[in-house]
Amino acid sequence: MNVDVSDARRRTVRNLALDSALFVAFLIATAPRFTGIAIHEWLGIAFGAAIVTHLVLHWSWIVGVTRRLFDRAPGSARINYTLNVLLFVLITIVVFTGLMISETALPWFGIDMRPNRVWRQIHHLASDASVFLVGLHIALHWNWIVRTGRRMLAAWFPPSMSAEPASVMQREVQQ
Amino acid sequence: MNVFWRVLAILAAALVIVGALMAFRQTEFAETLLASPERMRLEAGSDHDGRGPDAFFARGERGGLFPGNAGRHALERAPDPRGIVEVLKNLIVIGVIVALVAGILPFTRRFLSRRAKAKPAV
Repeated sequence: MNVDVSDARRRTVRNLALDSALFVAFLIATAPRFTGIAIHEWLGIAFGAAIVTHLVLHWSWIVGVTRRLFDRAPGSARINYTLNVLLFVLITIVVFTGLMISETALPWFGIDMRPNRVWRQIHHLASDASVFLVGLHIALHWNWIVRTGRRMLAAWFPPSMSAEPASVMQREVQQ
Repeated sequence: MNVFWRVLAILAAALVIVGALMAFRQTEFAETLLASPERMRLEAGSDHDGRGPDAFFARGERGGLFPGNAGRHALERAPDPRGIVEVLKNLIVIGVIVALVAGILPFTRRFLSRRAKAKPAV
């Protein structure tokens, strides 16, 4: 039981750390004027890879809800699922169009992309829309973020011993 | 091995999206929807007078202003601390959405569960 709890806790910490890093990377990547175009492009590619990792880590949730989508899934899970699919589509479009208008990253590999206004417009439209969807994605997971954040803070700066039942930890890992 | 197949599935899904995007890009609809202002002007038959807000970037994209035909992106080539405004702007937008949705969510859940309870069991 103790092994399960510590394993679940470790996974929760890992998920929160990766998600926080993803959020910071997203915020920085959406401001190319701040980072300059080179960092913007490399960060965007790294962000794409991190999104794949994020999806692999939440694979059991994806498979579980996909299986139950049309019969037994609760309404909130369906909304969450639809939003996540939209977000995946948008992020894919942003990363792909970003590669199509790349001025630093792809030329570094010897691939020169001609400037294309249509790809650029799609890139800007999709990244603007993804800001809103990321906001909704965070909002739907806000309770988990706050709960887990509090628990992590309590673990790092312990005011008193707090023991959580394994079931709660397991549920949070699944989110 | 499991992870490999999962990554492959995710990449395959991304490839489907990219394929659809490429197909969309080829359509007349995309061309009209996302046509450049300069091209629209040319197609409309009016001559480009080189003035107005777009003229600055249009000149640059033709290669006269910025090296590498980068246009507006050339302005973003070097890091600029003033760009932090963009980060803050997006952070505020996300914060407002989170505040609104996370504030509304408990009421929505309560409403949905009340409705579900009110429904007679079949």
